[in-house]
Amino acid sequence: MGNNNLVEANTAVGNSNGIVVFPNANNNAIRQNVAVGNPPIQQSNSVPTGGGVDIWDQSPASNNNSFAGNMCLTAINAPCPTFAAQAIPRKPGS
Amino acid sequence: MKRLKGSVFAALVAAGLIVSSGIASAEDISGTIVRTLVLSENTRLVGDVTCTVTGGPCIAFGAPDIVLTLNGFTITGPNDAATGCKGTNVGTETGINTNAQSNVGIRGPGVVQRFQGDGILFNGTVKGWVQNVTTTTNCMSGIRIGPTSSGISVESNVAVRNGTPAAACGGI
Repeated sequence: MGNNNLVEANTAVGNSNGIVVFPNANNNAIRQNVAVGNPPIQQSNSVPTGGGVDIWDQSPASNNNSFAGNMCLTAINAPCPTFAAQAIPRKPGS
Repeated sequence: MKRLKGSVFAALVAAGLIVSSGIASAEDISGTIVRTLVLSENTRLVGDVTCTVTGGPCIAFGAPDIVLTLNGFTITGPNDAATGCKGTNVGTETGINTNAQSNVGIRGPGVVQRFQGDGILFNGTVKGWVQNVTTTTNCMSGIRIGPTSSGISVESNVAVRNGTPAAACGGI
């Protein structure tokens, strides 16, 4: 990814990585995307050392790339929303 | 004789106008592409496209300020859908390469799939966009903005099952 680009409202599922911001990228906005299930479970199982995440910011913080409102489960140097670790049990009849 | 010369001149002017209007109009493409198709005008798909190009992009922009409209059709490269990448990625074998042209766009809906490199590569482009395109089973990224591109808008696209564990690329 170069400079001053906008990545918005995309869906990335089942790729080796979902969204990648390369080390020299500057001033890019990544927002309102859905990136989940990256890498796919088949790849995670067959190439466990392959790595891969939903969103991966490889650039230093000083490069001013911004992330806002993205839906993801795994990320490096980018925020994902917090989800409950497990469903809250529901009382029968309630 | 003077009248004849005038008629010939008028005919040449008319022919020139026809050629000029031909340049301004859109091109329709479909079928099989065996060597890189270079776009010089607004272009749209009117049917599915199959690419057998090796060593270069399937489609490359050859002029600024033009748009490729997928029109709901699919561009398919030589990769095997079942085996995905066939092993190694080949960076030059992209589906669509903006080829350093500025202010170019790729409009969906449509699918770009099964290329040994990136599905769509913004390469050396200043200002450009891709919207509503699905990229799948490409060996590198589904959509990649190269390091020398800027002012690119990637919006409302879907990337599924792109990339290899060997390279740090993926959906976008």
